[in-house]
Amino acid sequence: MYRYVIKRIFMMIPIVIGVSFIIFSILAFIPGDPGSIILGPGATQAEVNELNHQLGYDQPFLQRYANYMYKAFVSRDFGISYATRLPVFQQIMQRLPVSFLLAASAMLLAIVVGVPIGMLSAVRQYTALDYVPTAIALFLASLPAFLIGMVLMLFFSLWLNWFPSNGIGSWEHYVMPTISLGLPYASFQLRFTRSSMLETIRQDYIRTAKAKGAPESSVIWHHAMRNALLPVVTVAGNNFGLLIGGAVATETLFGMPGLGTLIVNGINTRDLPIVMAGIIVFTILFSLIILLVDVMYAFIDPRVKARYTSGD
Amino acid sequence: MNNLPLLTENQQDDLVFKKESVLVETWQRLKQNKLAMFGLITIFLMIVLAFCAELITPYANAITMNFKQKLLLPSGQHWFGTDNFGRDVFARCLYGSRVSLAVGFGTSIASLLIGSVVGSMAGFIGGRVDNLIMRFMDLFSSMPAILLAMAVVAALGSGLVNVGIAITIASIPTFVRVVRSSVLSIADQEFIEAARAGGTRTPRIIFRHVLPNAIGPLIVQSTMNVSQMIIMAAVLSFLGMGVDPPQPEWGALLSEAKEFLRTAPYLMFFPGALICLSSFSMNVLGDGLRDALDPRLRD
Amino acid sequence: MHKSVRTAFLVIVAVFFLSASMIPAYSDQPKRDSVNLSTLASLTSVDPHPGAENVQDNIVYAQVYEGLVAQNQGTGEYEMRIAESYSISEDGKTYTFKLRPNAKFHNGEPVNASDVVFSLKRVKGMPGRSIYTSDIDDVVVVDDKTVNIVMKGKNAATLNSLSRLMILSEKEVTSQGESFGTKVAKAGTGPYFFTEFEHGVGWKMEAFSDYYRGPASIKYINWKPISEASAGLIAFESGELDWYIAPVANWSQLEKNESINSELVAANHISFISVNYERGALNDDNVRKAIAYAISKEHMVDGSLDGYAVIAKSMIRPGYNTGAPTDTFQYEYDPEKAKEYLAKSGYQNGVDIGTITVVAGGYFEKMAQILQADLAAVGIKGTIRRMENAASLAAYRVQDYDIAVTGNPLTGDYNFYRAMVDSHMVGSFLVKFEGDKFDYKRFDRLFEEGVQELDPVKRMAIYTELDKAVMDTACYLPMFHRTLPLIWVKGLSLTNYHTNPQVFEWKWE
Repeated sequence: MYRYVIKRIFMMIPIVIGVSFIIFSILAFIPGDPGSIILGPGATQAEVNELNHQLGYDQPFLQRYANYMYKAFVSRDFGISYATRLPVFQQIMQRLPVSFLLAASAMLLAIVVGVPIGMLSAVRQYTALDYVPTAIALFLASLPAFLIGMVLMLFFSLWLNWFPSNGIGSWEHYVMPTISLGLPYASFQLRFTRSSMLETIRQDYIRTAKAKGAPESSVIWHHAMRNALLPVVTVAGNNFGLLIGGAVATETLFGMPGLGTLIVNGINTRDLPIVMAGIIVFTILFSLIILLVDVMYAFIDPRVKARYTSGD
Repeated sequence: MNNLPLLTENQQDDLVFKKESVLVETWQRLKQNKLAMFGLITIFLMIVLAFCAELITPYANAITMNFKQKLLLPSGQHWFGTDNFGRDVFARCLYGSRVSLAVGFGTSIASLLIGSVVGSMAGFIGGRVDNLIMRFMDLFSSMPAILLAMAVVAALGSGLVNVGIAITIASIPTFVRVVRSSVLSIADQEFIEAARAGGTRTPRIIFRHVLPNAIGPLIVQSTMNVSQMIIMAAVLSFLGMGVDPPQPEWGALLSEAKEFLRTAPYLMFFPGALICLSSFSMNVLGDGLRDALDPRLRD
Repeated sequence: MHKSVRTAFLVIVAVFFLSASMIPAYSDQPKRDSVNLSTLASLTSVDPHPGAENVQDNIVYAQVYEGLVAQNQGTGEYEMRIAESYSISEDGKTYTFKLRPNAKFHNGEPVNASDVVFSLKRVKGMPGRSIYTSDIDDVVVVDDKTVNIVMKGKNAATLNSLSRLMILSEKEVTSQGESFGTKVAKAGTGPYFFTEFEHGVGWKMEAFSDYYRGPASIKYINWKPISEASAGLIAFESGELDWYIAPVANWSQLEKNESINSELVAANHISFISVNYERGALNDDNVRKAIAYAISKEHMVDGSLDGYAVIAKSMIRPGYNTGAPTDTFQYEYDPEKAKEYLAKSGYQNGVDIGTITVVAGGYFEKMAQILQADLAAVGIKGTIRRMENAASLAAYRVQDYDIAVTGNPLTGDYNFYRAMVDSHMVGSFLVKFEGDKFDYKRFDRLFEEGVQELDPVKRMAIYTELDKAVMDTACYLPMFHRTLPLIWVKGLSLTNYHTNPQVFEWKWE
């Protein structure tokens, strides 16, 4: 089993290299050179050229990429932010907990709201308990998270004065961002739970169990739920990475100093070292979470575990 | 959020149909789903309105400024009110629907076409090609789609076409996966073997035999994708990376309205409602299609 | 089974709503030894000098750093800060400043003449400040508390320039070396010093107890960046901020709000349009004049700032800037005249002038849209090109634009216009007047004469001539001077309604 985990960790290496190459290439198209950006409009061309030379910007593209990767992964030096002159790595590590906390609480909200209601809908298919939550879920999934956030802000900050609208600092600051980010995902979770539950309920062994006269509730709990949880874990895992990405607009709206706002600001101010490193860190995180999900899979489902331990 | 797997592997495997009658049956089942029909009719009406915009109000109304009539409440003359430049918000929403729907459908069709070709190549040729393509797709889906799109817009500049390119790139991997798994599930079947043995060339097999069989999951995926693309474009506009003014687009209208949230909330209401309605319609239609294509779920 | 699921569901819903309703209302802290402020952009450095000057950062630095003198925004007069007095030599070139004996840096060190020399020489090499330093010839220590600043000639703008140059502690700056700016430093002399600084998150200040004008009444300042003005307003209204520059769109509501203080304040700022005469059809004088006549400043004010701005007759606002002429030439909105000029240029059937470059978001983008519409009305086509702030600066630097819509804070003296026109200025931006097209040497000469003319009447006469000459090029088109709606909470007493606040002057009642 742990050999499988190690193997998977090694498989992340080409992903990280590939992603960083793609991002490095995309960012190379961005107009403007680091010298002009750092020195601002007042500098002379000679000063700009000098700084570009110092930063190695006058080297060919592949050479720059190789230098960057070497520094980043050998000495954890992701460069210096153009805007603050602070090490990029340090800034990202400062911002990461905020995004992580937001994503985790939104995820939790999505599971806590989505899974039970999804199961209920499946069990009570074709009743109001199915139609109403499904329709609401579809409605929520059709809203951009920032729109939910703006409405929440209007109600709960401005009119009711319950929650602060901006920044971090206390748990209250996380309430509205969590809801606006979590609700659309709760609806994904709900729909997915519902459909995988439905699928499981139709399986033959459940019918058999029912036919044998086992009470409905015990059938659902013992058979259906365990099987239906597998895809739920997958969605949760996939969502987690996506949640962090989806948090970008939410963080921006609520002025939270997370990784998302760091990258958005980085793009706005052409602070490319930040953008580059931010996306790489996202990618690594995302791959780790997918790995975690796969391992959890194995624990939940003995069949999968058997496949891993048999050396696949 | 567009990478979300919308179908489990099992569902995808089962969505294989070989006869015309399946289409008819699907349509029959879809017709009984009231929510899905609501979605279909709504989106159809929206498209018709977008196409016939000129018959309703000239484009000039959407872009002509009139400072004597700024920030008016909705009325008989201006159904949705006017914005801070005195432009008619109804006209802007109407012409905005052209852009938003074009982005939603256009990028989905583009991803569908590219995804189909790449995905069926991966699935059908298999081996090293498959591996290479899928690892490449893994790279793209390892990045949060919105960040990828933002980076592309930053590099290419804002504007309708660039936004389209950015979100198309971000949504291709999902299509490739859907097509590939459909292809894999039928590649071994007899009629494909027969075609191969009969000396039919690979591209022909892909287009004549493989793709038609993958059409079910593709339709569902495309439908859902339209709604996600509309939302993604709105998010990009919200972050200030959308289409260039004065071109109206729903997300851009929302972004403009943000400032007048309290003084003129109706400015936000109409584009917000339109985004929501179109996206909701496509979602229920997609859901209905999935249920209709996979009768097992309905019993 | 369904009962248990339903029960679970109900419990979850109940817990959710209960926990929401049990949260105490977000109330004000007990009164009060601190203020909470915000800026639109995060402070990137505690060093007030290296980057380009910007309004948001200056609001922050104004609490921490001081120059030898300061200009009172309300009266336009110069007040002594680190210096307690000054005298001017016979030839008008040498300014002798006596430093206050009790002025101290935040690290406890006294302010000495050597710190002044260090600070001014340090800034001399910095891009973006050359407008203030280019006339300074030398800075010399006389004794510990006396410093001579030698100008290149007589100079009417000396005090203005010196008020923009902050004095930092040599010891503090050199001991932090390269890293100065990236972390809290006690290098200033102002009423507050930094205690925390985290980019993008916030920064905190504490009143300096040894401040020579006495410690500030408000002990702490907590800052955080809120990039969206409307979000900032919500933060203000929910009690998270104590003072805010509100978005003008909300002014009519805020004005009537009895529970807050509000004041509409004029800003010393110019929003303008800049035309790159080196590009295509724009090289034609008649086309540029057609553009100048096609634009309605009234539309600009109405459409981009909801009417709350003052139409600008010239680039440098008279009354707010020493030497700025009141009687100068301006282009009055006249679409017919614009069409005549267009016909003269041979483009009677319309012309495409390329792109209108603008920073995305905010009122500049609205100005660009109005410009586009006004030009379209006379048959001139322009495509809006939106850019992020940093990218736009880079583009302007290399003259990569056709028409630009932007704005700039003014500094209190007409001399600042040199930064935009004079061909010698390193910091020159947007329009580069050189080559044969315009008599740029005349502009340079008039600036030189103007800054050396100490008689206010004669100085203004020179600047009036200059202003008309530059306006005639139709390369810089002034649009309006902003007015800013200031709002602050009840109980906070402000003596001056500055757009660049001095928290030192504030107190809680």
